[in-house]
Amino acid sequence: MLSFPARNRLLAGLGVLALAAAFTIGGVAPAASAHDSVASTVPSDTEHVDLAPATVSMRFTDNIMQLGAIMLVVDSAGTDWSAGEPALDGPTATLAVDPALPDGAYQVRWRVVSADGHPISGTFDFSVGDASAVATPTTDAAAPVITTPTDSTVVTTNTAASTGGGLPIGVTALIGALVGLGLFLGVVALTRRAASARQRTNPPTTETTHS
Amino acid sequence: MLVDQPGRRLSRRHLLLGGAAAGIGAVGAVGIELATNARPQVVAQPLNGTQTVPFYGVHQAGIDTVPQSNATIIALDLAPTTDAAALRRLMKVLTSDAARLSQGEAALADSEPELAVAPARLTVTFGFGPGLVALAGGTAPTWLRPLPAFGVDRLDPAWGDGDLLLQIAADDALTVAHATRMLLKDSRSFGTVRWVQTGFRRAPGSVKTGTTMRNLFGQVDGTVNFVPGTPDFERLVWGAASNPGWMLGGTGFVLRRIAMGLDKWDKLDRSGREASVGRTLSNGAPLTGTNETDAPDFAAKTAIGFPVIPEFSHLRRARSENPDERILRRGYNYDDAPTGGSVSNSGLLFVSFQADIDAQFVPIQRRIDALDLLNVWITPIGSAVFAIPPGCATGGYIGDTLF
Amino acid sequence: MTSTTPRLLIVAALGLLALTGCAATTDTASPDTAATSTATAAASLTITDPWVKSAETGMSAAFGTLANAGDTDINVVSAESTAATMIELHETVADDSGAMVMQQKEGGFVVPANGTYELAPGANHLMLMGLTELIVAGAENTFTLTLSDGSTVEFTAPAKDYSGANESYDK
Repeated sequence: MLSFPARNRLLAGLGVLALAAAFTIGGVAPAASAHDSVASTVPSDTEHVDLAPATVSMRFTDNIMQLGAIMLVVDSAGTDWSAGEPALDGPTATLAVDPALPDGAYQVRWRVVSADGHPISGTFDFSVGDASAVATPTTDAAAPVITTPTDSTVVTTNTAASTGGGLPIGVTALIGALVGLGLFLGVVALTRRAASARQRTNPPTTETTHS
Repeated sequence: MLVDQPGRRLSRRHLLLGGAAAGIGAVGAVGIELATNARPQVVAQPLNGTQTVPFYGVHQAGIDTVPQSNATIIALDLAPTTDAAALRRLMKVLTSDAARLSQGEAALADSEPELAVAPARLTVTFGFGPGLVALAGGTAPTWLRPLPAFGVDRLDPAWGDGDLLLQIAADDALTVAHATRMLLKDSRSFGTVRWVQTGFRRAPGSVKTGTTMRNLFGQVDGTVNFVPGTPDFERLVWGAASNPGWMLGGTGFVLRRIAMGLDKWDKLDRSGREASVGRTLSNGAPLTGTNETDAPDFAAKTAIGFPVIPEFSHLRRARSENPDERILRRGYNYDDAPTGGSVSNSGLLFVSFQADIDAQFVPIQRRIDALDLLNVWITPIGSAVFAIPPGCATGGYIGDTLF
Repeated sequence: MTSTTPRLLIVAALGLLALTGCAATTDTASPDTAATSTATAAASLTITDPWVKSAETGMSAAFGTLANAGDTDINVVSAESTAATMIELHETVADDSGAMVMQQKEGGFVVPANGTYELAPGANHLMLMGLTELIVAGAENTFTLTLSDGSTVEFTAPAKDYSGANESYDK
């Protein structure tokens, strides 16, 4: 086993390598996982449309499972303007929107189960008509990187999901690399903590589990 | 009900400590030997093999018994020539075998009596299929029939049904094999083997007693379970008033052979695996908790408002609002020889005990059947239902309330 | 020839061990309940773990461990059963060539004072000849042992399927 200082140097080196690799790869491949990802949305992310859309739709990179799909169209007050459940067809999910949808800014919040059985979720934003006077949705739409307390869902950014605009792909890759590095360091920290906790653990005589 | 002799009533912890003490003692003894050139002290080590579970009692053993590490579950088809009188003889013989072997005594006419000396908590649990109950002229519980067809089922009749069930379990595979051999030898004049399913858990002493089993997906499997002796156990395992009188003290048995697609599972990353079941892989805690036994918070939402424990997760689907829709799970892993170019033929022998299969098991399975992400990777390929008769008193035999 | 002897010893030894085990459902015949005579010999004799080999026709054999709780030897001179027209008391011994053969035990079985006498496949046994009906597995068969003082001990033995010891009962 490595001494702590030696291991720290090794970890730091690995982190730098990971970042470098991310930049190198970032130019040619998005920071996507093996799961389905969003190929396109209508409206596209951050798009402004003049008239309220009858539907919002998403296309994924592969068929999605006919199970567990949710799409919501949420305004700044948190009201959901979806009309019914999303219709799933192969790689697409289409959601009917309440025809009374007023002008304003909206966030589509979605979760689907990708073809490999992995739930993925995320958001994208659009605005309708004269949206300038209307506040943006109350959730943290500016940084819609979604994680659960236990990281049970795939992190999906609106920037990666959208086809028009958004951040340069390299920046996305950087974000992905940083998230990955953070996770990596977090795991290391947890492992250390667990290891030191084990060291602190009393001898087996204090165990309380009985048959 | 681990050990029937008060002098040997040891918890696993004590056994472990004893083993550790024995080891330390042995080291110490060697030290003394080296220092003084004296004769080393022999330190006795308690053996798993000597532990026994009582055979006779109100209930059959092997249900509220802490699950042993190894199990062989067998269904027999009765021969057409086997009538009610022959059935009675069969049950007397098998009862004798089980009673003796479970206490570490060779069966009568045991050709390999040396194999009987380490019972290792051997239990033999008998179950009756509808055909057997009819042959005996008894009234069957209403639920004693094949389960309703479920959409996820891909059942192979080779793994289903049967007239007489033998669940043979011990903390030693050789003990199980010998008991199996003895019981089948004594069955062959009365019927034929329909199927044999062999399963395993952790070996005794590998993990702390009471640790929830892990299945071959790596998941903690069976966290929510009844505790023997509790009102829930009494009512929902031994309880159903609607069962016929001969079943008093008995229960219902379901075996589902569930193939687990390990190759497909390989492709799913850790977070996806955890989402599918709604629990963490590390310790089986609900995705909303930190410890295995934490109550799941189904209302907890992610940052964008979706359930942290997805509504299609196995944990959510298996959970009922109706507290009567619960079962005692006592399953085993199986890992058989792969065929057809595959590298795995693995899964779970899902075993559950419940007083009323229709009222307890079926609703759970219906919810899982209708929507459970785990169905992507698992496939029920065998299904069997048996009525577990009560235990018997010394001098009686299993099934004597039916005949 | 030498291969059979240790096995016989093991069988006999295990029979003795079995005697110390607790009674199973098929155990029977404590002197208090089973003896049909008030004679002292029968009152001291018990049999543990009796069983009879199932058979369709011809011959079979019965086994168990005889135990003598008294201070004098007990001599079993004959046996009867509804299952067979005739029962002989047999022993298995090595013949001149070393092969194990069965033969009638001269003078019957002697159960030593405060000791046991093992009846086991490949060793001493009750030889059933002229079976009156099928001996089917799980069926219980009643036997009566007559002792040298004329007292008798009755016991019930379940039948078990058994194909061991490769014994020839036709000799």
